[in-house]
Amino acid sequence: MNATTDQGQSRDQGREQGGTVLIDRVAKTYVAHSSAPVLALDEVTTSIASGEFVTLLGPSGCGKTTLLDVIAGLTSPTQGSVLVGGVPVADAPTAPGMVFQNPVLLPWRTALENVLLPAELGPKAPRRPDRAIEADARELLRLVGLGDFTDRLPDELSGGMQQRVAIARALLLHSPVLLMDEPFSALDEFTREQMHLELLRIKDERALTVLFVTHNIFEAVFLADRILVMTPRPGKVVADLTMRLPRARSRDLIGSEAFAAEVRRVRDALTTVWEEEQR
Amino acid sequence: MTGIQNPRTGAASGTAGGARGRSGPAARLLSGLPGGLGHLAVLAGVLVVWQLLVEVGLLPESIMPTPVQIAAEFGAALHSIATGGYVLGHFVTTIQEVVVAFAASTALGVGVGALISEFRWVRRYAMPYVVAFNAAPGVAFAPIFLVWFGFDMGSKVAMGIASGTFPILIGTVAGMGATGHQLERLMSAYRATRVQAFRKVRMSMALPYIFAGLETGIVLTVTGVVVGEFTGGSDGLGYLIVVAQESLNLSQAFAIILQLCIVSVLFHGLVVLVRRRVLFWQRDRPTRP
Repeated sequence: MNATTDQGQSRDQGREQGGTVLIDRVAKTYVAHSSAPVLALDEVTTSIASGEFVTLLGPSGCGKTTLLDVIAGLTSPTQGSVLVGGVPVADAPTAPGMVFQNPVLLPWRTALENVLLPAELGPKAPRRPDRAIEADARELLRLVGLGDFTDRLPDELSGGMQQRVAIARALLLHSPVLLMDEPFSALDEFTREQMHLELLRIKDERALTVLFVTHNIFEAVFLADRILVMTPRPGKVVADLTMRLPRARSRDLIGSEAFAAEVRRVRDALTTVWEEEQR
Repeated sequence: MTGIQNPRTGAASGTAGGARGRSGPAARLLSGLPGGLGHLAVLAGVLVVWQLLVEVGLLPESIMPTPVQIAAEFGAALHSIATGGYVLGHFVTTIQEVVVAFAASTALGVGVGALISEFRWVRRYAMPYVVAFNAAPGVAFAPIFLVWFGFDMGSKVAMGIASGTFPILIGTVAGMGATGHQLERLMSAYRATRVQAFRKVRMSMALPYIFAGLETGIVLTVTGVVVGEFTGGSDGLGYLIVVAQESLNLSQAFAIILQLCIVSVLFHGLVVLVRRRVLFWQRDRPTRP
């Protein structure tokens, strides 16, 4: 037991540098056979500190997901570069954890087996994950509040619980960076609010850097240390707003004047661009 | 595949009540009967009317044997099978042909289907021929198979394969493409190798579709085998139908059709049984491609 905690601590120390994300003049152009090339992302430059919670906010088609895919190494940028923990993502020791809009669990695997999936993938992966990783996976399921559901199939879990399994899965490889693509947009309002608090707790406990894509202004403000406001055609970051809110978030914050002011500020940033586009 | 336990025990049966909806007096009378009695009542009614139509003379007996005559022939055939008589050999031959043909159909359908979905160049160069082969009426190959594979089991098995493979192949191809964009993203985010993606995800994702293909395939395999037996040779239930027809013994022909029907239903049921075991995560839902 002690050995695991020591390991965990050394990992947390490694995370100090490991959690930074440097995005340098990243652009992405999609070339289609039948039509003109589409500039999906236009020269995005920003740096994200270790342990920071950054939301990418904007309407659909603004390149949020493209930017996330570039950071995850799922697609390569046409121009520019991304460094995760100081190295190009392709050379990083572990792939960043990813959570999508849908939990995308394998229906024939139990919650535990689903969480273990990343350990079985990759060129150097063992055929079966070892005991230590399985203990990690159990611990992660406890962390996301599913300690009693390890042997359930996805079908037996609610939507919110399935998404918790997906979060546990994303944390299995101990990547200090967690990338989330509208992870709660398919959940009902109550579950979503609960998941927000859970996510912030997990982020603190694991000292994660989180990049969170959303089109919901309230969600963005509630969760973020910093919001990158994006607009479409071509997708670019038009505002970089640091939230003037206490780091510890609670439900009470939502009704507060400070929260309302931040929502207004973000909305203003979006409408300014809107109006400019109209002209 | 990874060893996964907990198959669903005691899953509740699906639709129990049967169809509700608009119901006239007859439907209400039937739905008042418990369980399968309604079905039995309808069947009995049809048989009685059929029997009467022949006995009254509205249907000539030489064209349409009565249910009683067919039942007698069927009973005689069952007796013959049970006592190792004349029918048994033919019955066993047909069963053997179906089993061999279906095993080969499954291997061929899943194998070629997987190759087609995994390799773009295989898809490009093989798919047109697969589609063309399927578009050609399978029955038309029967005389050629007779020349190629002889009058024994070979030609019948070949007919079974020619008929049963296509739905399995198409099911496999459809299933392999059913993984979904998000899951593909997840697999590449975790740098899954091609073999890992195939073994751990795509194959299992395809299983519901493959089973849908198998359920169609088994029935078509039986059909193909029987057509093969019509075409040549002197063995199998299909051959017995031809013999009955040549001696104008239609009640015997009907009795054999009834046997084939039962064989087909049993094989299909076996496939469904295996599907329920394998796709334990799908509970009692029907295949849902």
